[in-house]
Amino acid sequence: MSDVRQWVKTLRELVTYSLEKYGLPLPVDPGVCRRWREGLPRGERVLYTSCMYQLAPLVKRAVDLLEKSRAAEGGAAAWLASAGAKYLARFLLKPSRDEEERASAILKNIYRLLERSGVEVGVLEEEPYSGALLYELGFEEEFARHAGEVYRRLKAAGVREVVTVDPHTHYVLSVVYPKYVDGFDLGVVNYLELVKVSRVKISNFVIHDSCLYSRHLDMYHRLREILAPGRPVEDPYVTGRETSGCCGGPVEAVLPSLAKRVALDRLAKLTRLSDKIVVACPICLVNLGGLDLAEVVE
Amino acid sequence: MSWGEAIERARLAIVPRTYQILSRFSYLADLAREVRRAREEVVKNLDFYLGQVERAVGDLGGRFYLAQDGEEAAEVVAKVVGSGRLVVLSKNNVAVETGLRRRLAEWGNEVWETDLGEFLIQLSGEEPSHLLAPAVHMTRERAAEVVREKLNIAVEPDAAYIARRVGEFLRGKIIKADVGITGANAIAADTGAVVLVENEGNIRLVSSLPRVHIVYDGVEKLMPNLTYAFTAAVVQSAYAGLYPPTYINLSAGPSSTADVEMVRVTPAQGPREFHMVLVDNGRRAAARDPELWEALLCVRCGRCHMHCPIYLTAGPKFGVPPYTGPMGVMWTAITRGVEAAGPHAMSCTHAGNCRLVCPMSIDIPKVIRAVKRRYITEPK
Ligand code: SF4
Repeated sequence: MSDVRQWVKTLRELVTYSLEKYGLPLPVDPGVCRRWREGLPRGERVLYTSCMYQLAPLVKRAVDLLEKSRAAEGGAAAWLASAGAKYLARFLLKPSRDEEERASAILKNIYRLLERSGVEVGVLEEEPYSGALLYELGFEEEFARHAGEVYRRLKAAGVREVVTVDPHTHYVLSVVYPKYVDGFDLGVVNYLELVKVSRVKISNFVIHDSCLYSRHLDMYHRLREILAPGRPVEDPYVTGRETSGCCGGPVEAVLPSLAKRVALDRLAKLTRLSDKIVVACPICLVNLGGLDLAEVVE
Repeated sequence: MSWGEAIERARLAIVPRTYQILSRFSYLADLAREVRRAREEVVKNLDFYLGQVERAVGDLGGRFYLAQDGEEAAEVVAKVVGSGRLVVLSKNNVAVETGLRRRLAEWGNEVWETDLGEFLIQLSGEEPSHLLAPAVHMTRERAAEVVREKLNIAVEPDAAYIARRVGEFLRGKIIKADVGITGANAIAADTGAVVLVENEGNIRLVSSLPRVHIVYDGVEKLMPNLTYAFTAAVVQSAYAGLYPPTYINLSAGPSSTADVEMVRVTPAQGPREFHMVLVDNGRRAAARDPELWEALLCVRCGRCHMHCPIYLTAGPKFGVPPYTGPMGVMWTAITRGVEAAGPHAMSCTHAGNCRLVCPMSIDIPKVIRAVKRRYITEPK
């Protein structure tokens, strides 16, 4: 584990470099974040995705690439020191077509669900990235600067309230921004708090809770209220608020093999209850992926 | 059997039992809140309470030592013990933290752990994997094998059988021991009385049969008075899923009697010497640290471990033994510094289960986040 700090520093270089160049924490063409919302109206209350659904599958690819490079050059430290993150950043990452289509479909579903629930909401012309990854990696100074800039841009676009669609963005905006951004006065609400649901398409599924929604944002019961018509399978020691586990996603970029083991352990517990797993977070979706996973709005 | 299987067995045994205890005895949550308040008071005024306990132990006829670090603490004990003695220990995380057992053995003493789990760890030479159940990673087959190989005692791979045979062996040692060393679940600062919780019955013997009793623990174990110290022990055992504990012991000084003319004299049947060695080793600095201080409230119930997805997957590699799991990352930072704790803090996903189940309501993810931030942003 001794070079974990060095590794995180490389990640930081990559993230800050990409933010500067592409406005996103990974070297990704920002066009992929926009496509789903083409033609949708603007507004003071906007759906704010922070491009999380398109970015989530790319974290793993960015890490794979970084890892491969360090293996290829023989010796992590040498490679990290010489080529460093900038070398990597020349590779523009792209979600596959399927991934992008799935992300778009999820976001469009959320948008439609809000419309059907009578919630009027617009989108942003240019959507800045929230900075969640900086905060999660522990780079609070960079995060604070970035958050101030995001706030300024949202205000300049006339935004009064943002409707978030994933737990990471919701957590940083509702809990962390107010601590780091002076005078932060945007309304922050999550789509799960707004939607009205009367029908759930599948049944006998198991819920994999997002750590942030269930334990840091007090939305454990809200998700169950929404999904109740589908009669999710519950086990007090697998799906309880205090007993459920993480998908491993938050350490994906730092300790990918640990993230994988955590995900496998979690999957083993969940699949004992049902082979249909419902998640409500793009990172969980990717980390537990590969099985019969459904995003809550699908 | 893999770590995953072993810990899942343990989890499914202890987690439901703890929930049952907490729902059946609903006053425990109130007691936990009271203990948190008292512990906050002590941590915020640690030096005051240290002064108080030093005087109190003297009044009891005991000797008090404050050791700055682990080395000094082990040195103090080594001097009290001397060499060529038979020393018995009850489970003591601070002894592991400071390498006490090795130190005493180096001085030519015969040293035995008397807690079954810790005894198995001693025999196998492995590292403890959990605060309260140090051998939680061992199956009964492995435990039997270790006893067979190291002690040449034939035992069946059966928990009750192992407990009985090891018990017989250890009893023989305790009876002959010169020195008994225990930790403390809590210490009443105003009187110097030490409260110890246990189930095996070894602590009673270790603290009363040998003629010297040494209490060896961290400075944060102080509580304002005996009521709070006792309550802390009750809370600790309940949140550890063992309630009521089989025994709660109290030791306050060398044994004494006032049966002749009501004059109190020492010793009587129990130890004739009582020593208390409290170890700082980063704790007092942590008490003044605006981010780490909260970790000192920990009562060592071990509950956060069983709810932590990283500990359940990574095992004792999450943290530095004896301080593993969520509490372990914080305590590794306190006792070994941010450099040692940093890589472990980086493994934390901030799942947040630990914060919800901690009887002291320690915001563990917040403390770990601070360790993480310092590790990656502060120069080496
Ligand atoms: S941090 Fe809390 S839950 Fe964990 S061992 Fe300490 S008191 Fe128990």
